Amino acid sequence: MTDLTSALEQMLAMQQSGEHLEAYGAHRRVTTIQAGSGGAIRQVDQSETLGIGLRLLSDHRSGYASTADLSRSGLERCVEQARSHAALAQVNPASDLPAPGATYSGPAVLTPSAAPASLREQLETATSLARQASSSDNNVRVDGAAYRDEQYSVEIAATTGLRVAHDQSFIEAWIEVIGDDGSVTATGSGYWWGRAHADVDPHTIAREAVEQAVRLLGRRADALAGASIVLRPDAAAAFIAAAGRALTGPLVRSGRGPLAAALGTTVASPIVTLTDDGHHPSSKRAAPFDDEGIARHTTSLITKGAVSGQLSSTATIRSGEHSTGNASRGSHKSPPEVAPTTLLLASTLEHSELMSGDVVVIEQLTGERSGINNVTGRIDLAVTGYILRDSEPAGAFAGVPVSTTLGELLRAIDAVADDARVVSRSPALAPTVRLAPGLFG
Amino acid sequence: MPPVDLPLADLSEPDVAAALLRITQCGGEVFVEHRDSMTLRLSSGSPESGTWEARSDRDVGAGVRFAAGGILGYTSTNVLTPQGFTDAARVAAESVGQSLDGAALGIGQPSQSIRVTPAHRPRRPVDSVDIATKAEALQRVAASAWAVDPRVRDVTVTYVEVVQHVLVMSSGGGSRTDVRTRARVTCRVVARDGGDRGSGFDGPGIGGGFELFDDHPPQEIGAAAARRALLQLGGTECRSGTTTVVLGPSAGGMLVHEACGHGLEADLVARETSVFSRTRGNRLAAPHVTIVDDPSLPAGFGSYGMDDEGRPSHRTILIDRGVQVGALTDAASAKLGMSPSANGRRESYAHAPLCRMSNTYLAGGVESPAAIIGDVNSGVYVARLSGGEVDPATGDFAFTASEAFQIEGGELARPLRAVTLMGNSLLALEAIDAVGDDLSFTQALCGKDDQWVPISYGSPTVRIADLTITGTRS
Repeated sequence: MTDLTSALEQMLAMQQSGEHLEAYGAHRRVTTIQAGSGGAIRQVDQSETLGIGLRLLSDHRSGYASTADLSRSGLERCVEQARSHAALAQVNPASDLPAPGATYSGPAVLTPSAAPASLREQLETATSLARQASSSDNNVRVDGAAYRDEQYSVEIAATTGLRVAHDQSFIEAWIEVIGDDGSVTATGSGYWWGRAHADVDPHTIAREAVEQAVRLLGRRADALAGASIVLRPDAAAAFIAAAGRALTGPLVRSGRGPLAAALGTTVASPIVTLTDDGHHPSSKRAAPFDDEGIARHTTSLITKGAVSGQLSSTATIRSGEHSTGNASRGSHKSPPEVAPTTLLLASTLEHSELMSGDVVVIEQLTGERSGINNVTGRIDLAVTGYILRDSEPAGAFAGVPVSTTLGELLRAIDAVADDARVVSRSPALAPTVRLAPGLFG
Repeated sequence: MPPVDLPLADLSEPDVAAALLRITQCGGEVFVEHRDSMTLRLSSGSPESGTWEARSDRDVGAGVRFAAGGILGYTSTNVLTPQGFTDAARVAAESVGQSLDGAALGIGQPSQSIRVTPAHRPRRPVDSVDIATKAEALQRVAASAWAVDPRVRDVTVTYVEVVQHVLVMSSGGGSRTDVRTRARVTCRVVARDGGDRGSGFDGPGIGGGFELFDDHPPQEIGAAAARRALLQLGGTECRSGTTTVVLGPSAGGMLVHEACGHGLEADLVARETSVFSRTRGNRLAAPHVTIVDDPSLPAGFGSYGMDDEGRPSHRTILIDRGVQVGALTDAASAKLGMSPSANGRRESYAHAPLCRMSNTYLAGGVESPAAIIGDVNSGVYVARLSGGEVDPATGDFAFTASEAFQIEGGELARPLRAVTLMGNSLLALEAIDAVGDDLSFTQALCGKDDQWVPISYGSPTVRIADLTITGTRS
């Protein structure tokens, strides 16, 4: 029995009459190696954290507390805090802890965890990544490169009898470069994730970043009226994620939120079909169960432009409904909230077909954190990219302001490419997306 | 024995103290943290009902750092036993090619033992106030928001308090401890009028305790957030173009923080990935522009008695009467020949320190805000920005205004909605042509390399001669 398992069981044993407890334990080991120009290693970070998040239900009132102090006194303090917080909360007759579920399914690739590469191998990979980019183009220098290996274990135990656990591991590698041709400065980035160190390809990651920076250098483009707009995956991901966040249970039920969308409402063009997949093997977020121990599912959100579903957790469902398995915690410190797992947009065309003719290609967004309003759906930010004229590069642009709404953007989608890929920090497997002319003026 | 505050008292245990001493004698630095936090949230969809959520967290851990050959090795752990410290130190040392083996165990004492003067001196310590009193304050914030207008539809009030005890030990710096206490309340309001929606926010915080609500009355917080949400209903969408922009203190402060502060963090300057990398000594703005970072501000939300590398906090002038003179350093960047400041900060023990801002502000001038606006025949006044981003390498920024007004004939006219400010850091600095006498601060959390730290940014009213704004696509 691990230290974490023992601590979880000790905590559950502190249950009092009329209470139910759910203890979420997380053990995380992360190694991050940062390298700079020429491949010089800058920093090696190795962290190990162990903590428990407790949800206590008493007479349908919920209280939360968390701790990294797994001593007996630390656990007791945590339980007492959760108990006093529950006393403050309202009675919510629909709130209940998940009961033990059926068997959990998922592709075999999710388990077991791969053993991490040696520190020497990890250092060599980070160095190689930075060196590849440093030597690729005279106009491009490395801002920073990083290699990250994460191994984590999640155990959830509840007084309802729920006992689930799984291990996960994944590797990320990314690089940021700066291009400067003497008159224009541009940035580029490359990102990769996987589960086996042997699959890391520094050359491809570096090339992606360098090529992006180089595309955005050079002469400035003239305006191209009437052209279609193409969002490359890094740009499309932000809007797909916003659509997923807007389709949670409470917002769909009330017809509010940035899409003001009740079931059946048309919120996007007819070619838009969006699903959330809890098991997709190409996503590092895939897992057999969510952060309440509910089996993950595939949930249809938008079907041919109309709202066809919603994401939920046990805290957001109403009586008679079932959680879609989308409870998510940032760490053991956070109570579960509803969040997409992996958002997929069904493709309609091959990538090459979107990049032909006269096209405005958007590569990067600036100001997206606050520029996509999750309440009103307004989009106000700046875009950077380049223009294709008769399918040939015809100049770049940077920092061009655009304003629209999430609803208008979804309605303007007229093609989705078959090149979906993982984008750093996004729940979307984002493809290249084409928008009808005129959306951004 | 190093003086430690009660939550870290176990570090005085002989075996633990000996392990820490051995690590520092081998050239390592140890950072230990004990943090208690509580979050209280009231979410309401009507004036009569609301949902409470309360949660507490205790986090305890240590980070050990070694440096050799220009490489930093860092390890963190929750296991605060002699073996736990030693194991963490061994991993960090070996990652940079060093070793703990052979070092003498527990010989001698640190050369200095210092409890730094805390920057925060709570008048009402948070643990002296019961949760019912805290809840009542949040209810008053919510009630004041609901009372403003029947078009208010959602009100969410969140209160967060953090008490953090830290200890830093190193061979060169001895042992230092610090205590930081912060409290902050945020109110988010959504207003609706038919199909039109607006959102508003207010979020004061202090380096201190529950006196937060003495300094910022609850009824003012909720009302301010509600008024900002209502301003967005029916507001005019402005025409895109270049115009004179007057920024109120909050908006000006965010511009200073984002467009200047990040670029003047020494790690970016040293790597030549900042637009300010080669501008030291250059005149970047008019003489009425002075930008300062000061972690020693009493009760500052970003203040501390020492930084997270043990350096006593002190004020750093970044731009002095228009000339760039400084940068914000941590221990690593200070070794690159820059004057050391006290800006090595970390989100927690699980993170290695980075150069970070604390309380960064544009010093006040002598003009009145009314006079600054009065000199503008046509322009835009931005009271608040809801957020934005800057590319430190190019200096290009984009900010979204949450509260803005058209200026006509020297007066504030109709409210504007959907206003975005675009520009470049160096050009914006150069274009500041008026600085007001109404310096004030706004509190926030700042993110960099996936680390979030509490900061404040400050400014008086400032006028920028030419800035690009965007509104409707037509």
